[in-house]
Amino acid sequence: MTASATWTDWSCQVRVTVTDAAMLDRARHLVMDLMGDVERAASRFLETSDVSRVNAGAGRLVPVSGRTTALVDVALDAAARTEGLVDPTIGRHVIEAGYRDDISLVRDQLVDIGDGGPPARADWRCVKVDHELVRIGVPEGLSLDLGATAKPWTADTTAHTIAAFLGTGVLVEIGGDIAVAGRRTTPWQVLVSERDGDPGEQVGLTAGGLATSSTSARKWHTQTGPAHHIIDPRTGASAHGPWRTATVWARSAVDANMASTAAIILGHEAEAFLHELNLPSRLVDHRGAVHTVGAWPALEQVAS
Amino acid sequence: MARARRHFAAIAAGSLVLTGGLAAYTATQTATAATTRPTPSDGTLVPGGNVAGRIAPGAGLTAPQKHTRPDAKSNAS
Repeated sequence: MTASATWTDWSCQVRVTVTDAAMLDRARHLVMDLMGDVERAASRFLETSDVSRVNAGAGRLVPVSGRTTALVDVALDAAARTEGLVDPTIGRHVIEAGYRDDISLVRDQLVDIGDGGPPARADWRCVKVDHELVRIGVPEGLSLDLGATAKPWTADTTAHTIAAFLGTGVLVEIGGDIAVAGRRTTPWQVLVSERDGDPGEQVGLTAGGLATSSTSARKWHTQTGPAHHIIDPRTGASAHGPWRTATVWARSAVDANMASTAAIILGHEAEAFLHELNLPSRLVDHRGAVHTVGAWPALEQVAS
Repeated sequence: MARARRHFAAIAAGSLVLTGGLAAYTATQTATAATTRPTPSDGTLVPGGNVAGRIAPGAGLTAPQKHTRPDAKSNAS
């Protein structure tokens, strides 16, 4: 018998479900604790977070926590593996695009976009991480945003920690990034959709992670038109391509989110990219038409 | 792009990358995984397992089960 806890944090829904109901409280606290830790390390909206202090101290090495170096390592690894498509140094570009506050506030405003000239070109290779002295630095003109990796990393890490230490099958969902770990006799059932409340499509999840990236949720209005939070590091602006939503399965939620984000940025190349990587994926174009890639379950396949 | 694909594929074929103070956890996880490898009949669902309903070897997605409510949602947030 599974048991679930849900709550809201980081402006999104968080859920932990365990197969051993007796472990629910401990699992929930573990997720809450790590989310608090990650927020103190990486939140752009918390002035005292390590990432905010690194960004404010651009041009020099700033002392941070070990957690922050781990999170930045994951982000730089994602950048390396996508050849810079998922780049953590787009922080200033996101701000220039108008995403300067919690999304619940930004959505309701006509946002003034930056008038201080274009920021420096994003370049993850410029980030300096000193593991011995536990310091991180970014060049002046750039700033960090770990949004593409910190959330799925938290889902992965809590799921695997709960499974390993509490001995229960577990699903952790943080704002649409899902990680599962441990034992369960039947697949977890996941409703994949563009927005909460949309009809969507249900799939079974047996291992790894599932992530959805979309231009349709974290978006806002500026004087020059709509903008969203998925920045193309090659242009420094919100990505423009044929896909508004990408859902990808991979061996971890970090990898799934990395691939779904890269798919939105890659645009017309996304299907070939995902197919080559053999990652089952579901892409939605701007007309709402669904395209599936690889081993994504066909609609008519329903297990009895 | 070809290099990015190679990088990604290499990691996608591996396992979760964990760094920092999680080394102890990683070691525990590895030990746990080694002792919980499924037998063909126990129905355990792990990567690489052979479970009815799986649509592709190695993939963690299956077709949905009939008349089963979702456990979770993956959508834009």
